[in-house]
Amino acid sequence: MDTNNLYQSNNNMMTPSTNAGGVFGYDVEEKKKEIEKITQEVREELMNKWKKTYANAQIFPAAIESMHPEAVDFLLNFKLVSVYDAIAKQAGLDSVGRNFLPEIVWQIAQSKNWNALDQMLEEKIQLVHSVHVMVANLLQENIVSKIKVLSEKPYAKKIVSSSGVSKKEVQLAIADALLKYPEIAQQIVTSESIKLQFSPILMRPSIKNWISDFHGAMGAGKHSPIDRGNFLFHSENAKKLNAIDRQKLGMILKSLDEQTPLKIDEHGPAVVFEVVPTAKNEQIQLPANNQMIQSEDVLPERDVFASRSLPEREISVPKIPTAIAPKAPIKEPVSMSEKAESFFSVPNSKPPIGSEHFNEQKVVEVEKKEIPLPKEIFAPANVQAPIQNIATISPATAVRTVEQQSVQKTPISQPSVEKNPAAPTQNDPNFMSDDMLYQMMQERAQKNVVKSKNNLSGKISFSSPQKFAVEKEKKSVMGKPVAAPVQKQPEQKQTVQAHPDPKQSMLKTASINSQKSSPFHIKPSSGSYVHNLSEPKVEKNMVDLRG
Amino acid sequence: MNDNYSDNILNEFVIPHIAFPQDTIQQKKILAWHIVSLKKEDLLFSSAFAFSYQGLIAGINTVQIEYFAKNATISQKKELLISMLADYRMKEVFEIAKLMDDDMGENISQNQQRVKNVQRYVFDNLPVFQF
Repeated sequence: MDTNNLYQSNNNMMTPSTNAGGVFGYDVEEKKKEIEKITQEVREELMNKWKKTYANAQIFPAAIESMHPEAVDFLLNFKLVSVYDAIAKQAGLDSVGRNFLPEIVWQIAQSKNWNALDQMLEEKIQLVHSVHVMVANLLQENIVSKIKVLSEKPYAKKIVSSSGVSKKEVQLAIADALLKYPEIAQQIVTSESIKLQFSPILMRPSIKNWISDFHGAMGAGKHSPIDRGNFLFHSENAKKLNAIDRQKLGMILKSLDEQTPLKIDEHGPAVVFEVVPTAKNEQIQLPANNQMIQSEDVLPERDVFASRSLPEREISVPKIPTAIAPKAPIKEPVSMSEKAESFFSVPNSKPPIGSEHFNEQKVVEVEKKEIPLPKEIFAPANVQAPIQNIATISPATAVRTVEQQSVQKTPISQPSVEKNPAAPTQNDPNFMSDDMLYQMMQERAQKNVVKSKNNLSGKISFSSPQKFAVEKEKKSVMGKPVAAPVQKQPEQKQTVQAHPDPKQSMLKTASINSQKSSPFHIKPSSGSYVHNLSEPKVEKNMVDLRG
Repeated sequence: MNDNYSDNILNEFVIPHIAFPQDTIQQKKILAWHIVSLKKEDLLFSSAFAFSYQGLIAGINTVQIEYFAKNATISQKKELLISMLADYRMKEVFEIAKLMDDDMGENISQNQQRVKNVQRYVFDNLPVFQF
């Protein structure tokens, strides 16, 4: 066997790599490059992961976190080590004295007590006065003055979010912020919807709407803290707020009046609320309320809940009177191009002519005008109790109160749809589509308006079969013609006719009462044992049932 | 092959005190040389526990410590400060630095001075490391 041939054949079998460094195909330079490349890849990967993991991790203690970042950067410059060394050398300080210098500087920087340098030096380092002055001057010139300048600079705090996108915060008064970022006007401040002064529907608790409400209640212009306090605690909308929401609203209003800066996240853009926890509000949930709802993505109520993972309470529009509920979702007539000046003007709640809100307002106005007039009101079953009480007071007052209640309660209460077990989905509002429900509400609203127009006879009818003593007496007085044959009135229909002169009717009733023995006459209505019992004795208001 | 490389490199970044054995002072010196060669950002990848190893502290340079002070997490800073305040650890750190100087040649105290400066920087800026 020829070994040379074998070697050659083996040699031929080995396929040297390109740029081969030899017969074994191993090139050190190439491997170095390859490792460098891998190292770079690993480094980048680690850096990305690190940024994500420690995006908002605490880096400094709270005291330093509150300092100006540029001042902190300056203080953490490694060159300062040699500056301190140089000052110590110049002043003849030992290592202990030298080590006090950075401590003093940090204290001054944190407390921002720029004039306390001399005092601190005297307290910490025991030296001759002239040396004190020299050290103070050197520190002032080289370090303290620079920190002071940096600390007083306005700054934008950068926060890196978990997604790696940096957040930039600026400090602006709310008026300036609204001018710069009009979207902020739509930011939700509180959790519950609010009722504006001249608006029939409930509005979103956005910054713009709250400012409108504030100006509507307290007038435009500057307000004192007492005025703001009054608004925050006594206004119709603000008195319902919880402590956190009130604090947030207070910040907005204070900034509006006193131009105090608020933190604005430029990437939102949104106002960043820093609510101070108090004993009352232990649980603080800021981010939820900081969520923005853009006016352009106004969706139907259900879609709003589905599309945004906000808690329902946040944007739950309280029950709008169904009779006047708009078919379309609640829309604010707000355009993003609207100028910020409009926020500070007295709100004009009238929607523009031609908009759907304009028609809704018309309907409400019609109802408000026409409903108070009727004297016969058909109240729903769930408003019986207050109406019964009304019967005891003067009819005029009763009519007025019933009107108010019908206006307030009738629309809120669900329409009394007759239940048909055969077709539950046809008339049941729970199973009806929005369109059908809306049509039904519209029809009912129209019917109510027509009814209220027609029912001007001055009769008040109650659906309750129960009667008070006063009602019975009234009925007996009214239906007591001296000689005329008594017309049998159907018992089902119980009407109380308002006397033309309420005073006279009351006097009459009183005189009848005095003539009668007692209005509280108890008589068993049914039962076989009743026949065996004799009539109870009635003395004044005492009833003797012993027989 | 590439996977092995990348794993090793990853370990050297994240757990250098394990990737480089730390049984003898010579091994500690090797870790110190590795740390000195790192970029300033790379030191942040090390686990907090790594800062309790003398070899790692002996390798920290001035650029790295400044970046570390400005960007490291609480746990990393805490661990470094604990090590810096422990005399017995710092004694060994200086020994490692001396060995490094010896590697560079005679009468060289470059690494010892570096460690001293790093320690002084940490003590000067104690409010940043104290939590």
